Amino acid sequence: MYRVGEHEERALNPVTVEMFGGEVLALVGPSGSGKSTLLRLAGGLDVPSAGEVLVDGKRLDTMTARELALMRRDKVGYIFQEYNLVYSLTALENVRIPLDLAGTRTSESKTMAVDALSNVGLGDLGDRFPDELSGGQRQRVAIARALVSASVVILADEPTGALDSATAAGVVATLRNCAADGRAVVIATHDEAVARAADRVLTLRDGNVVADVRRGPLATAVANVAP
Amino acid sequence: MSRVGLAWRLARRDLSSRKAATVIAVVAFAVPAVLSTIAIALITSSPERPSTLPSVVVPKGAVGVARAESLNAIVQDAYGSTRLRDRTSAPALGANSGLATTSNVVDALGGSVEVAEVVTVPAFLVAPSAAADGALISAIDQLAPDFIPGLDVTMGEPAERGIVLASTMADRLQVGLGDTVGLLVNGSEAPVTVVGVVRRGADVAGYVSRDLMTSLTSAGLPPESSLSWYLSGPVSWDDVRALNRYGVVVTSAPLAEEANGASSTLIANGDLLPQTGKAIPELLVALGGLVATILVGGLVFAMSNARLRRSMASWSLLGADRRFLVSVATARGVLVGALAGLIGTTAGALISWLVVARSATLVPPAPQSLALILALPACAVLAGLLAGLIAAVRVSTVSPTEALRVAPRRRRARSRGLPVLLACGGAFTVMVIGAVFGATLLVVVGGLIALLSVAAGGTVVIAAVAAKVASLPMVHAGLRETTRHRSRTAILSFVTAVMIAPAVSLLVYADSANTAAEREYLPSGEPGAAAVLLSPNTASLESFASKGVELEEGLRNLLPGSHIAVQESLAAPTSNGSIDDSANLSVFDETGLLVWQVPLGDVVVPGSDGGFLGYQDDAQATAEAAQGHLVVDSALVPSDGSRTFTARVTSDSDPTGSGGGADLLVVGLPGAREGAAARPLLNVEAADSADLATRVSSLIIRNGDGTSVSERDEDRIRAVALTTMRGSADAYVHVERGYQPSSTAVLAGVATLAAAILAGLTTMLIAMLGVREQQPSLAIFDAVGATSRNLRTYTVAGAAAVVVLPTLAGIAVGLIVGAATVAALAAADPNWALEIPYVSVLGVLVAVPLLAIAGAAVVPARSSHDPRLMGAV
Repeated sequence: MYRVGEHEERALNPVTVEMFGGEVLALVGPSGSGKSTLLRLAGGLDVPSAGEVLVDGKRLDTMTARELALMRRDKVGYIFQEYNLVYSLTALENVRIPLDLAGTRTSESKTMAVDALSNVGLGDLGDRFPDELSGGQRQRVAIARALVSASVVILADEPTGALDSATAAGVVATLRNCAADGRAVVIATHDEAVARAADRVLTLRDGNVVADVRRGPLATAVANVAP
Repeated sequence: MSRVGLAWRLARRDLSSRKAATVIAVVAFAVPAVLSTIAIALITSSPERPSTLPSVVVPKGAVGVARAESLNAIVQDAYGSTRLRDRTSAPALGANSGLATTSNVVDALGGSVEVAEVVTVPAFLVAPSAAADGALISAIDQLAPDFIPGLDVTMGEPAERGIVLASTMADRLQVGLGDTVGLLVNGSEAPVTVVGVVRRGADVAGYVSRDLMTSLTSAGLPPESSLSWYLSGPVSWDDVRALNRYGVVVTSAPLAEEANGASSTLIANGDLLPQTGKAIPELLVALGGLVATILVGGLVFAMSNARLRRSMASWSLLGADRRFLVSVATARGVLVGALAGLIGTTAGALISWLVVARSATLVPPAPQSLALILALPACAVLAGLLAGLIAAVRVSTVSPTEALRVAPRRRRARSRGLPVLLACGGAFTVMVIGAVFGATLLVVVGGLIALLSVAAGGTVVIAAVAAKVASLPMVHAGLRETTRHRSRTAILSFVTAVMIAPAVSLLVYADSANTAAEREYLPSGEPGAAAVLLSPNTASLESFASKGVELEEGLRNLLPGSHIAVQESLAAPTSNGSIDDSANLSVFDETGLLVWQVPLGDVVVPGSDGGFLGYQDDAQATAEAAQGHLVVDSALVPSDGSRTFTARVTSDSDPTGSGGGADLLVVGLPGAREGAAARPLLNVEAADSADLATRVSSLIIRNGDGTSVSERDEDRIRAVALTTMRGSADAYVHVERGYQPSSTAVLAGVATLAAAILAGLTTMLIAMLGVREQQPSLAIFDAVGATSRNLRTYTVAGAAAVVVLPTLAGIAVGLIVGAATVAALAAADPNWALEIPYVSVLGVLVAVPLLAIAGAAVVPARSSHDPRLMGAV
């Protein structure tokens, strides 16, 4: 439930979704269908008014603010539609934020951040400030920031919304590589190409799950373990 | 809806949708308005306030000086101050402060004093000679000349309508005692009889009997008439304060000079006129300070436009023209300014009213201050308008597309370290030079440049620090935030420094003023030392000492537990004919009781304070003494206010002091002078002719612990002393009361407190506002896993970075400005000396950054879990 002024709105109806490591899940649906809400709940940015959210086996809805913050820092990599970079910090410093917050040694965090930036093709732009980068470059910095820590789940909200198709393809490829590393990747998107690249597509409408389609080897694996 | 209506509506919605930021902005505006209101109200409520009243023509040498002198002596006796701060004559006060009748004054003083009315009538004396055409005629109670020491008054038979003329006037009119002259009042001639002639009142026009004055009053005085009330003792300082509520005290130096043959340090009517002229500018300066302060708040407000920028951009994209955008932003500023102005002024007025109502020394504010205070809301609205315009210009000059970007493009900062360093160093050098050479303008300009350069170059230093703390990620990020927003940081830094510098200056000024007031009271620099001065002027050293022992025993019985002792060594060390106070005081401090003997050549007794007529140098006092008049230390003036002084002085040849005595007329008291103790003088010839000895003995008693003698004990000590010394001396006791801070020092303290509060609150609000502007960054940090502690570290580091350097700069500038101010005052008054309140300055140094840090820590702590913060991502 969202409270907007005097009014309460139901953003998401009761829904049960389970995500696995190595899986790329695409959340699709029209605007207002609940994609971002689901994503924010999974990322610990919002707390559900009812129900449970578990990440890596731990309930988020009962966590304290500090526990939530630490969970976001250690377990979740979040890629925002608007990048949400800190504009007073360079690209490299932005990528280092989760590592620095976790107390990683400076030299180590710098090396890891450089590697993360290199992985998204921005290894030589680390000293630039976000406002000195293009939209696609900013998005890749945001992706690098999400990937740099040992998070178990990557949540991406319209990561390709502002990108050209070529850049978008690169972003998707990067996210798929994350999944290949064993992380769960959830992408809220309107982009059919992105959805096509996902292992599983969850379709939302008016806060309800109207379709949950798995494809590829992971779908088979899931089907085999399902009771 | 019209465009204007829409603009106002949008402005209102913008403010109401951001309640926290709006509250901070309103408070940022309102706090200076509150404090400025209080400052103006209290400044104009001081008994020593500069008169804002129109100048009144007071004839040179107004005869009221006799009573004023008497009052002054009483003030001196009671308060120990030579500075009778006369502000205005009565009629304007009567019109403006409700002083209408003598009964007001009498009632105010509880009927304990004699009140004489003085009416100055701009009438022409027309008979028997027209030569007086154009001369101002003063009217006064016919007894007034009796109170003018040194005047040679020839009194004739009292008459119902009598006038006492100055000899010059009498000569000019060719009249003498018993003659009738005509007094032209409002075109009508009133006959009056000359009942007295004052020989030494050269320029005094005339004195009219009370009866005539009454009749003139009932007949309706010309509008230019002045009416004053003069008092004769005994009058306590409380009485004087009560009288000051009505602003009454008129002095006239010229007549005092004529009466005493010496220049006076009294503030004369002639000196008052320029002060009157300066009154309005002084208040305007106060108002200017207010406007400047509010403008500073406005600038800060104008900086908080991150969200406004996006709103404006959206409207622009929808087709709103620049004029509309400006009107929205301006309306936003005006709304905040108006709200803050009303709240601030009302709160300030209420607080001022409470303070004045409960104060024993403050008087109702001058009417002009009310007008100024009423103008404050308008100033606040004006400031808000300007702030809105600044914000509007800043916002509307950015292209909509750029404004709607998640972050606007910024140019990389160029290093400006060297030019800033040069500018800052140069500015401080200029300030120091200005302070040394007394060039106020240089000090002020240098100070402003210094603060500006520190504000402009602060980011250079912060960036350097940030590079050093890369291992502390949140601190590093916080510092980088401030360097990335250079203009915001520069403005906030400047505002902080501008707030702190005056506060520190006032701290220095207040501390120095306090010390000056102490020194004025006791030139020896021993504030609060209470002493009983016993001056029998008769006892031999031995007998005096024995009396001293007896007195000591009496006092010990009277004040058990106190540290009182008799100093048996009776010779007082002298230096160049003056008592060496320091030597005596050192003994005094050890024993608590000092008996000393002073050779009488020119010197009788050391002075501890100036008298009400301060001679400019020894030569003037000596010249007076040469005429047979006694110029005596104020401590020796009989407390009953009488003008005669019974001197019976011991001598080398007659140490028993048995030889003779004389009643001498006290004609003056030497004023405090730098580098020399005031010296009561009596010329040897006069002493010899009176068969006086040339030695005097005094007994000074003070509590050994240095505390003041209480008022209750004072009376008891006096009783014991007089009882003890009875029969062997014409003894009297004078007690120097404990130091009372001057109202100037008190006002300076109040202003300092106000400035310090203003600086602290403003700094805190600035920090809070700055954090509000960082909300997007905070939200991002929060989203990627920053804890509340991380966020606080981030905001606190940024706030500290913004505040620390300006605090240091503000303190430095404030100290230099304060030192320059005190130096200028010290040049005119030797009692002034630079006093740096190290503890208070250290307090500012610590408190201001702490307040900023507290402000910066509060916001993220309160809002880090606010859904709206998360909504920012």
